[in-house]
Amino acid sequence: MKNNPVTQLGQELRRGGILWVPFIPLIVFALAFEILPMGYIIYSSIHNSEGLNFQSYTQIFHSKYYVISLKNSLLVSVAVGIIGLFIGTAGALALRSVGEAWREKLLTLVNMTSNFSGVPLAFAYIVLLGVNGLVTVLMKEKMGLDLYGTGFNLFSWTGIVLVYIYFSVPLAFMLMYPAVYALRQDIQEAAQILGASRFHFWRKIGLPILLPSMLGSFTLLFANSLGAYATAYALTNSNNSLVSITIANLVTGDIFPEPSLASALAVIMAGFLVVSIIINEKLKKQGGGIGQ
Amino acid sequence: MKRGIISKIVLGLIFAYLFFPIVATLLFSVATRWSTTILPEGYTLSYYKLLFSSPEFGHALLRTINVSFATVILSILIIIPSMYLAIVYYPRLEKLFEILSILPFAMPGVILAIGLIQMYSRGPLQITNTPWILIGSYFVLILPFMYQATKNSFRTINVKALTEAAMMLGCGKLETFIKIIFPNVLRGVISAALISVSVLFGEFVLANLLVGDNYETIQIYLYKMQKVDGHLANALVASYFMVILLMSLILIWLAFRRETEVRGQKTEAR
Repeated sequence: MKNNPVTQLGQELRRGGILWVPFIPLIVFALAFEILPMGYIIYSSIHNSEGLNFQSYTQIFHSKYYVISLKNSLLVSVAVGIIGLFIGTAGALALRSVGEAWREKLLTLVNMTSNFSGVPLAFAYIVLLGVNGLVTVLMKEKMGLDLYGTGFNLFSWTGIVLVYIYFSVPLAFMLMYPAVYALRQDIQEAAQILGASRFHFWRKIGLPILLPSMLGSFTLLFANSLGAYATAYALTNSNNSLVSITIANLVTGDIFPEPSLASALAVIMAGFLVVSIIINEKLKKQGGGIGQ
Repeated sequence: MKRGIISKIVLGLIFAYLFFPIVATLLFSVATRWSTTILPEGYTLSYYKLLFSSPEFGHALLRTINVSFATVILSILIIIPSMYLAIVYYPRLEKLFEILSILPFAMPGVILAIGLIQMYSRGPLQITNTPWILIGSYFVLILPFMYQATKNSFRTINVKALTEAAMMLGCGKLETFIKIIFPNVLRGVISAALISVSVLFGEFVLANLLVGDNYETIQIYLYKMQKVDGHLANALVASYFMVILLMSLILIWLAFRRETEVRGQKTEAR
């Protein structure tokens, strides 16, 4: 048992003398603003005025409102994840047709647009597609198409999904690019020389190579949408019931009547996030063979 | 040949999709009247003038700058030395950074805020509704970005060899860090700082839930403005985007310089 990580760490610490001192502030901050709050949420979710119990959880699963907000969030995140992944992967694949010098520049541009999210993004969409938005009015005047007459409404689910896709695409693009890059042209040429058709190549080689990365990217897009709050809040004034908005509504205002309920909802949401992170980490370990 | 064209069309469409809202925001911010024409009917800078002369805007901007810069400086002072020490003396502690950088993904702003509000609204440390809680929570928020960006620059220089060489030549431990290591990773530190600042300039959730009106940051100001004056809010969004653009350009420039230098060194070595 001499080589277990704890003893090794102990040895390192003894050898380093007092050099561990700079770690103290790091650990203090991490404890105070990351680890203890996490523990506190879990504790508070199983603790209310009547002591330790699971009342908050049973209350959530018996309340239509909370179950629906969970369901809405999961549906939106899955839909956005799939669509975003599809567009991002298409973009990453298409980027292969561009010369090396341009590729880097285009990638940085994509990276830059990934900063465009939250309140500013919601606002930009309102300017474009709101009731009196530029595109809405132009379509009405020039093409005789009344967007809002067709049932479109930016301040509803359609709008939320639309805007969420916007901030997912650059992310998917950048997440998929390394995997797509690993699928080099020469592999495709080799397959063709050996007699594989385009369809065959994608079915037997291309897709299997890309699949782990696609799944991994999907989990990250899913988690990103699930945790998003600002965009939906700015767009719908917290009217639509997404779980992030529901949680925030439970704590805004000066009174905070049901901390236990908010915590339990947060724990459930974190549960989904943890699962998607674990899947991604597993895939990362397996997919180590791709690329470098 | 045909495939290349399809690829370029796909790329063109995606870039048009990504840049359309940005270009429209920029155009709208300088448009006098723009309703039924493809391009604005006239141009003006009056919204920017109005925005930049508004004292509320100035205060909100200053608050955001204060809290972001304070967090980033604190983060650099704490993370860079400990990362260096972890690499050279405590390789096992590197795991700590990895764990700390993965945690925020399981705890996005909304969730983190629930815990922080409960912990710091009462008891000995009542810091909700003050900028202090923002600095603390922003510290953990930017930790993954700080770690990722600086890790790479620690990787490109051989930290251990540099340290050993410096010590052999008679440098003390502190001197080695300040005079040898820090200048060598400075560019990575600047990148990390820029990424972090742009993340913090866009942060809304924690600011809204933890301090709200008590410390109105630029994003909260924007959220309120959006309901009052669309043109002014739009000028703000456009300026925000130009700041992001500027930071991205600096980042590209930094990355580009590093690349050419590494290439240069490689050719010299040959």
